[in-house]
Amino acid sequence: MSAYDFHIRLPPQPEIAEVQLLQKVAATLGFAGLAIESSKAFTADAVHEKLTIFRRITLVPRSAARLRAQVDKHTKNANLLVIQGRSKPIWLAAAEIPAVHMVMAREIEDFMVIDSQTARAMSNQGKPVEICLHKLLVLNGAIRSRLMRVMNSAMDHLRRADCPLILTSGASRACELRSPQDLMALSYLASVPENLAKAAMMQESKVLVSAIRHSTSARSVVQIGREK
Amino acid sequence: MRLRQRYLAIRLLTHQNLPSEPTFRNAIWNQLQRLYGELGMSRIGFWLTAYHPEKQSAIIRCQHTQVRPLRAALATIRQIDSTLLLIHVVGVSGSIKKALAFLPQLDPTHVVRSRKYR
Repeated sequence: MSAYDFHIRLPPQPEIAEVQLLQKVAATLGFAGLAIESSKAFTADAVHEKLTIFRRITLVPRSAARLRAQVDKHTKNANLLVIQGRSKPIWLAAAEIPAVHMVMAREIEDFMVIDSQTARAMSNQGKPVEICLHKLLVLNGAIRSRLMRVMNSAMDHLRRADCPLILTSGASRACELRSPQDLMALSYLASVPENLAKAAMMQESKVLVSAIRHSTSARSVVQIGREK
Repeated sequence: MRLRQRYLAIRLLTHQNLPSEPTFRNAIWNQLQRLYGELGMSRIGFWLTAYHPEKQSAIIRCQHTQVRPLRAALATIRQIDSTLLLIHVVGVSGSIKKALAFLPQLDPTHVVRSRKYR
């Protein structure tokens, strides 16, 4: 099984030992690759031999009007370009831009804007929706139950529109990583059906990796990981 | 009618000392109760079959239809007391013998011992 975690967030100045520990744990958990969001570029010797590392940039645009300019600015610096969908116009605009690999929902507000229109827009463009499960780990009590309720409603729309999904951990430390099977299990709390979770972890990951490898942005930057 | 069970072979990844068996068991109980309530907890049928902190391994039993909810609850545990840990389910099987095969560091005596403690 070649599973990928497409969302690892490192602090601005990460310790190299911490990054290596994270990669070691990821390899132990059975990941074939990671997409790391970091301002620091890694040299090839800092990369675990079993992993392929992609450089990820997440844009959080304030408005849909500024989205395209921001995408144009960052498209050459990343293997994987992701938009955090804070509002409905951003989701709809991001779905139309070919350089954007996927749109992420992470916070409660992100899931709240997913409706049938946004789900259909993503599905029509064949663009996957990233479901970042990090908040399910860090939140507790009433806020987590609210998040689960909002996720449930969003999943209903995404499932009906037959929208491709990608499950990610959003981990910033080694102890926040979860194995591919555990991520699939964790998506139970987000009301993701088992078959859809499996497809998100297996097929959709493969499709996204091939899209990254074929995109112009991937060819124009030095890929950090080793090619398999 | 005898209900079918599943055994989850677990590795506990941490650099710190692992908690005692009652602390570990209670942490999972509490998490299950927080997520699913008492009714959901009774459906899951959680039981700590074996726990060995030195070997960083454990075996957990549940109803065969409740593997996914239990794994989800285990995945949400990040910390027990002050110990940061990662609960990694190495494999799921229908018998203790096969579950032990996922954890070569454990042997059957660990299962018997942890039962005697209850």
